[in-house]
Amino acid sequence: MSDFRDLTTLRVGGPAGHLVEASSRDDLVATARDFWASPDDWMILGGGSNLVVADDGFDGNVLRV
Amino acid sequence: MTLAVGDVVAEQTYHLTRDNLVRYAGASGDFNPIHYRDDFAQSVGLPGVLAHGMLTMGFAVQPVVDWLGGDSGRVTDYQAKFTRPVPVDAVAGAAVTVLAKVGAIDDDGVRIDLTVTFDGATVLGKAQVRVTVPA
Repeated sequence: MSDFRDLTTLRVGGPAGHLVEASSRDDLVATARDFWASPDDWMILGGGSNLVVADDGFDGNVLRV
Repeated sequence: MTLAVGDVVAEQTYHLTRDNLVRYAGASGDFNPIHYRDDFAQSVGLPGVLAHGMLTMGFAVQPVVDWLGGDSGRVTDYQAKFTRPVPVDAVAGAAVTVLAKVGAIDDDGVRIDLTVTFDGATVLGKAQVRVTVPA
């Protein structure tokens, strides 16, 4: 499991629940549709700036672009 | 101390320079070149080098912390949206003004609303700071 400390510029933060990296436009759209169809919380992760995550992390779907 | 909704608790103008942005880049690990290279910023459609949003958000809460006597532990929540960029001129820098007013008072404490302006326009949206009141 990935930790937000390895995904954000501030290098803090706990586990990123279910992390999926989108490698293409089609991949991005397909993964986003999967996430939106799921009852779980979701978030989009870009370059990891403007993001401070607690040690508890985020227990949901994380779509990394 | 008796507070009422609408009271101004702090007002402060900060003069941001490119030097600050470079230091913040190093401190935060955010080395996106839009924060130190005009040519790069302009190539992606920006007016020029911009302050990091988190830097603006960070110093905008400082007048409230100062008002609390430096006790940042009394800040229990802080939120803001980055609604407008803050271009920082290479020579002139950027003057950003923070006005902190009491927005609400309840059993949990006080909500301070920040109005953060650059060049006559607000740059943070719904910038709200929750602080506890000493018993």
